[in-house]
Amino acid sequence: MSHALLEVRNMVKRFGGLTAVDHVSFEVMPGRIIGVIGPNGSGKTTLFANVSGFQTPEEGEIRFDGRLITGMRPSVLCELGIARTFQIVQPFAGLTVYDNVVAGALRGGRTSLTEAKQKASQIIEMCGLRPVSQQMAGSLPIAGRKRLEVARALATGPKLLLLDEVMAGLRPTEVDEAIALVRQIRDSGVTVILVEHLMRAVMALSEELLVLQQGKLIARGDPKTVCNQPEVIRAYFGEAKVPETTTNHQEVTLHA
Amino acid sequence: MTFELIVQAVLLGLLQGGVYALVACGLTLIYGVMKIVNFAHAEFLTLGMYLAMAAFHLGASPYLAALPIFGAVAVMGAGIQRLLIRPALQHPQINQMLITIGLSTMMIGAMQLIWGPNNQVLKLEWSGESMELGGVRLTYVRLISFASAAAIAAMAWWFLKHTRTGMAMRAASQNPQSARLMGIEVMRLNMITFGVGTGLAALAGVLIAPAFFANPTFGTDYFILPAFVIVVLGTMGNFAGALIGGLIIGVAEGLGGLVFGPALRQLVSLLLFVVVLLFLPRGLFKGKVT
Amino acid sequence: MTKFLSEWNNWQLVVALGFVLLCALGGSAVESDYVIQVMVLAAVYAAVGTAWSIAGGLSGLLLLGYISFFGLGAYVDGVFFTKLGLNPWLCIVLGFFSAALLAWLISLVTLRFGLGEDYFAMFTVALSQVLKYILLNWDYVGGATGIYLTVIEDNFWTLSFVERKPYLYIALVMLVGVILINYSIQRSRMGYYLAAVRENDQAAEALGINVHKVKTQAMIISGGLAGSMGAFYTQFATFIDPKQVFSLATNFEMLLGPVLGGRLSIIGPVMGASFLKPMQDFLRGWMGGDADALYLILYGAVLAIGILLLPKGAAHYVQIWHRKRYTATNGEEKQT
Repeated sequence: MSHALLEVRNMVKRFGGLTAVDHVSFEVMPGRIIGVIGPNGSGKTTLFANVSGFQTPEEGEIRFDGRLITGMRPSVLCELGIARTFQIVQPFAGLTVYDNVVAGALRGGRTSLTEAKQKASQIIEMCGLRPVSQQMAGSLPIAGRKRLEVARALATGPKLLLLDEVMAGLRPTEVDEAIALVRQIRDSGVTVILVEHLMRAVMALSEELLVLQQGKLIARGDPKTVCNQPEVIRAYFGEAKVPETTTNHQEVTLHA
Repeated sequence: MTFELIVQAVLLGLLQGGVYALVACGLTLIYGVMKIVNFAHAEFLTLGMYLAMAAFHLGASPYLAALPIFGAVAVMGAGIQRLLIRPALQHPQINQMLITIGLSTMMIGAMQLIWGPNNQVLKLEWSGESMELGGVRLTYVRLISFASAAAIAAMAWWFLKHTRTGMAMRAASQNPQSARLMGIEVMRLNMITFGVGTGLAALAGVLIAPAFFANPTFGTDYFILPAFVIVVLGTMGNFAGALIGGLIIGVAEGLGGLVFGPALRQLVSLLLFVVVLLFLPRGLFKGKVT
Repeated sequence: MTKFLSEWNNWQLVVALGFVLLCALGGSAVESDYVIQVMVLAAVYAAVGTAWSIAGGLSGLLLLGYISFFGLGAYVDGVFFTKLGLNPWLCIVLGFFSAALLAWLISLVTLRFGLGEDYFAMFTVALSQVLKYILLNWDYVGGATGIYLTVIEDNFWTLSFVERKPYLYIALVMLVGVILINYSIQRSRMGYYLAAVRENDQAAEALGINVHKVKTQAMIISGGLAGSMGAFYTQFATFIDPKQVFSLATNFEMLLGPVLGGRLSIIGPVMGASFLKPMQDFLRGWMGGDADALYLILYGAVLAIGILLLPKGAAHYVQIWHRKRYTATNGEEKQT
């Protein structure tokens, strides 16, 4: 049995009286694309925040590459190989797209400036940002900024990339491009976990699906199977009549 | 170090703390609503002192002049906010703070121009009189300052809890977005808040005028540090916190003065500032704003 | 050459150094002691402003109470030179390290991850006044009377001159040093870190940048440099007291240069101070009588209004011009 890249055991995260993540456990094997779905407020982004070091869980353990990482700071985790994008994009608005990616490529000091600049050029090429590389990041439209967010995180040379609702706000053609990019990233050797609402993207990309509801992990496994499970359908559609399931998951965006 | 001395230090500290509290309340109110630190706050205190002296020279009792002085300074503060601070709303935070610093410099210069750089004194007939309270000597002036400060604080508290504007201030402190949604006109509220906040500082100045020498840099010299510590200790934006914090710092400085000597009182506040920043950065009320 | 100049930082460096050279040449030709004096102070302010920009501009720190470092350096020189006979050049170095130490301590307390920048601003301002207060009451360092230096004859070794011009040259050399430090930081990895932290420190953290460490480094360099300028100032002014070197008014005068000139730039602080400081001194002389007070009012007004009109500083507009001028000649997009 090969070594899991990320192991989350019994994670609990509370905010005052609210339990945002409730005893969640799962593993992520290297080289896979894992999708995380769930209604709004189910704890997806909190999960990311805890895995990437921006929050510390009250209970539970997180292991990365066999190493215990619970409670470590984001900059340390980045050095270990975890990178993330933010749900609300956080570009360095006053810097050019190029400089944004270079900042990531410097990997907190593990790379020299010349190497970082080269790496940045490569990543910019890969993510299709060449035409806008000298523009101010703040002046890009939403699709560009999302792309930049991914490029910048990628430039840190991660083993694990956490994508937080990367598709939100994109037009259908842009979504297609994004899907292709995520596949490319995986093919280059990076493990990807993506939180998404857009079902088309989730179904197209995920090799495995995790479903959260109210902080609990209610289903896990092969995407098609999981989506047909009654608990999952109930989570999205409530206690109403469980509709006939089809294998035709078109442009369905699920919100609770 | 007798017991009496300690009691005296504590009592004096409490009295001083009442005045500190008033200054800090204004500062925290401004921070809560506008989210900027008013670096000119101490100058409004100094201004209050000078205006009290001016009133006195015109034959009025400074205490009677307190209300009009509050009004005048509040209006002035509101005007300043409108003219100097509001235009910078879209600019980075450092700019807004720098503007209040520019304001501070301007005010010091203006006060120096009008009243000169030397110490001024307000001597009431009964300035030196004091009374004994359980073996401790307390001057009437300090007792009245404290009582007045307490009364003003109570009024301000009532204002925050029971008037529309006061409630708007509290709403804006807690959650600027929702305040806007509730239809509260943020621009006007900022103006009023700045006026009220600076007015409170001026009131504190009126209250202490009979007890201290006034000079243009008095506020910055003696009140900036305590005011900052109190605001942070009491949680920034928290009115009750400023009141309680004021008393705590007043007593702490009083005791510190006893232990280290009067010249090093400020050192106590500085140490407290460091301690608070290290261990209680969100203040006593842990980030909750009233 | 054009390729070199097409980079904004390089262009600025050339302009700044050229300007300093001009000042040196001009200074050597001037005869009036008064003018030289103003020039020295302008150079000191320019250096302090350029140093400040490292922490307050590039890193985006709300470093409002900057004079603590300057004053500390001034007193280090004052005390160690007059009381302990330590060579002033060494005092300048010592001034750097003392101020750097203070900066490190401040960072430890106020710049930790997650602590708001308002605290930092308040703490630095309050600290400057407390230091003033302590020194006013400390007899060993002269208390309110301050410290006097006696200068009998020119002596380069002890940085003492009867003539004023040597001070100008030394000040300009120090200014060049600070400019070069600022420049190399902006072009290095550290420049990227500072920019990232300034723009969005959460995102920077997620990219592996240790935000606290970066901010601390910026503070140490920035504070230290101010300390050395303070030490030099004591040698030049030959008299210091707490009210002078810890004055909040002076603090803000020193910030005017970078803030109005452009705190992200190299030329901004230099040009800003070079324009504002002389203007300030001539105004003061011209106003007579209530000069001090009137000039305080004017100065405060200049700061407030200047900031409203030039929120990004004047250099921002120069940069726009520069970009137009040099992308026209470059044509294709450059990747540097």
